[in-house]
Amino acid sequence: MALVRVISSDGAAFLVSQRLAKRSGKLKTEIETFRKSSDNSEAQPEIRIVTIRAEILRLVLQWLQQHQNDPVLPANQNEQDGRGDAEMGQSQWDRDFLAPMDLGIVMELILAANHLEVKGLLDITCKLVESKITGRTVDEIRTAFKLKSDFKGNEEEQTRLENRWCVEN
Amino acid sequence: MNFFQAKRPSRKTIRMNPIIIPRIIQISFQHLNYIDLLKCRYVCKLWNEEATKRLQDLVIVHLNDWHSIEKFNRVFSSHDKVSKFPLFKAVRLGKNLNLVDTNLQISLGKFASGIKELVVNTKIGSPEWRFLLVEQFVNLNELRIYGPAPFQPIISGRDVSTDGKMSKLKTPVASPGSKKSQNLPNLTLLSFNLTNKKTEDIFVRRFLRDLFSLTPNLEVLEWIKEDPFLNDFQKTMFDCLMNKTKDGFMTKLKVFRCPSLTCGTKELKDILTKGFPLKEIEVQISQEVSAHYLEHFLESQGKTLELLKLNFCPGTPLNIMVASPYTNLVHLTEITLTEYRRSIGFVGYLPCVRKLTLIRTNIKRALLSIGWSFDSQDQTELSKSLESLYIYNDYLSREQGNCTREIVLKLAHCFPNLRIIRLEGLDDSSVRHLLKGFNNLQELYAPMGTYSDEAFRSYTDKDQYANVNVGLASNRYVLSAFDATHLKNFTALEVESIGLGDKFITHGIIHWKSLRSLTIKYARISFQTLTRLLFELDLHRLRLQYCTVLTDRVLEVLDDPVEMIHDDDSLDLSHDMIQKWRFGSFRMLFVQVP
Repeated sequence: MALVRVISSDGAAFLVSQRLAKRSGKLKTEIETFRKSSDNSEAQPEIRIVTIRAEILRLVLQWLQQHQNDPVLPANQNEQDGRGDAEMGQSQWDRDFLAPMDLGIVMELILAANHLEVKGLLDITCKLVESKITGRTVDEIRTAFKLKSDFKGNEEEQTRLENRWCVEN
Repeated sequence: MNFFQAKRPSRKTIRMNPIIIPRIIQISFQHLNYIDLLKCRYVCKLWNEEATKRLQDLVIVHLNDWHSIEKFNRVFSSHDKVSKFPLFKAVRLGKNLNLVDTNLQISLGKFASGIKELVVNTKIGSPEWRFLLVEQFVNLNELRIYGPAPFQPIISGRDVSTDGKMSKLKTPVASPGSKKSQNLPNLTLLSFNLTNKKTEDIFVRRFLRDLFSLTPNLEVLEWIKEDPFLNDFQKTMFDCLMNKTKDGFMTKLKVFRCPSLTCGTKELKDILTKGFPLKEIEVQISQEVSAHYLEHFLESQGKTLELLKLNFCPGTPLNIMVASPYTNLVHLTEITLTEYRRSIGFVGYLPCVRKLTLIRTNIKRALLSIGWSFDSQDQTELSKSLESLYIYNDYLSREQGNCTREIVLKLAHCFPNLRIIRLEGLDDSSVRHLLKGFNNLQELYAPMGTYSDEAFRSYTDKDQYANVNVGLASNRYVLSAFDATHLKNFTALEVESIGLGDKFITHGIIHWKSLRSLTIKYARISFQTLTRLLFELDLHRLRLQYCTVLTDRVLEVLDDPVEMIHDDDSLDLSHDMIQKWRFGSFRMLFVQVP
């Protein structure tokens, strides 16, 4: 079985099958680039991912392992199509997988899924973000996601006016 | 974190906050409802922008008069400082406003290219409108034209001269330079909703010719109102349409909706025989010959047809054969029949019809004619594929009332896969029967009390229904059905006139945990019951129409309709109100005052 070494930002190396790795859009391109540039076709590719630390990379690979037999979704699928898939993809395993994580870890996982182009993982993590938005106040959202209001002058008032317009009309 | 920093692609920002990457925000916002999206606009500028993009699909701007334009200007004057996208996708202009008006142009000007739908009144017919559409509303997808029909040049501040000479002078000035966009390539829907007024043929013709020359990619053509005085107009429209078609224009027409093709059969023939790739047609069948055209069409092109709506004139001769029983309508998924009473023999092989709507129709005959055998034990393709059945009969004769009951008793047996049922004029025991009989039922719309109890008693079997009485007794029937626990997927219910509203809810509806959408009409409900309903059920939509809610608090809301008018026939509780009540995943609450 062809293997590939994936190395995290803090130097931990994971040895995974190429079949599994190719389910990530990013890793797939990396492996293909490696193939083209290297003379020895038997050489084991080594991919360094400088933005993801070991703990997160392990989670991503774990998720890929679990979902290795799912059909691959095209990365540039439009929103309408993605809708059904995102809902269907939320399995019990996914819920158990995400349940113990705090929001910080989930955020890093989103970044990793985005960077590595793993659509399914991105969908379920974003769904978790969505659930943190529903039914919360603006301040609660800002605190949860560590965001600061960057409105200047009367811009916030402007938004308020427009929102009122929406509700009334 | 400053989002300008974050936007810069940096390899070092390992702990970057992902919630400020537009792509991630977009995915996260995909399933949010409109209340949450409005809230997200306050969080920060980037969220504001992304939420605005999503909201675009949900917000329609109504501009009715000068006051609303002033208000619009006040609200949106500095809109682009915060977000560069317009907050709305559609604009509706009231009958007093004119698209070519300078003030309106200034107001809408900077948003024009972002607007996808436009509803205008017929005063559009000034010589300038054409260039305005082409130059400003470049991304327009849908254009709807409402109002009285005269298409004469309007009198506005700038355009005082109303005679044809002036417009002839103006036209060539603007046309030669602007070669790049001669038409509206994205415009796919054109809808006429006109009311009767004497029309001047020359203007109509010019207007329509110009209009059709703008729409090379038209896919949907609608003519909504039925009005014999507009026959000439309709004829002109068909003339222009066919002329354009000769030039290779508008060959993509997929949907043709014209519930009242009053002008005659020639036009019907034109539409059906010109080889449009039609997927959906809605036409009127008034004479035998028009039925023949339709039959011919179904035989030659029926394979691509997905939706068929036929309106039969009450005087249609007997025994029209609309299509031979061997016609293959393999993609037809939806049939609607209106006033279908006398004709026999409709279509044969219908392997995938999922939705059937019957309006003012002899139900038994209609079902017979589409191949459903009333007594037969074996199931046809229709029996297997049919998922929704809608029956709208605005009155129920004694015969039809009995017929409905007869059908209800057999529905479960004949259509085992029905998921959505709407039957008007059902009595309570029929409702009970429906609820008990279907395991897959998801939605039931059964406005009860369409006929009064007196009428009900007069034509039902006296022995069997003798003790059916107003209120409690009849409710008991339905309540007992609500105990049924086999309906796991039941999500939507619409009931009417449920007598003792509170009891009906606390004993019946409240135990249906799977309900997501509930509509109650003509009922008296106490505030406590309403709150209980909201807390115990995970409703996404509750609509109370013509209901009295017994509480100071709600009545206080109802007394202030200005803040909450949502559309013509319902009141919408304001955003603040919904937040205050903490309705959770609630999407919309409509309360209508009697």
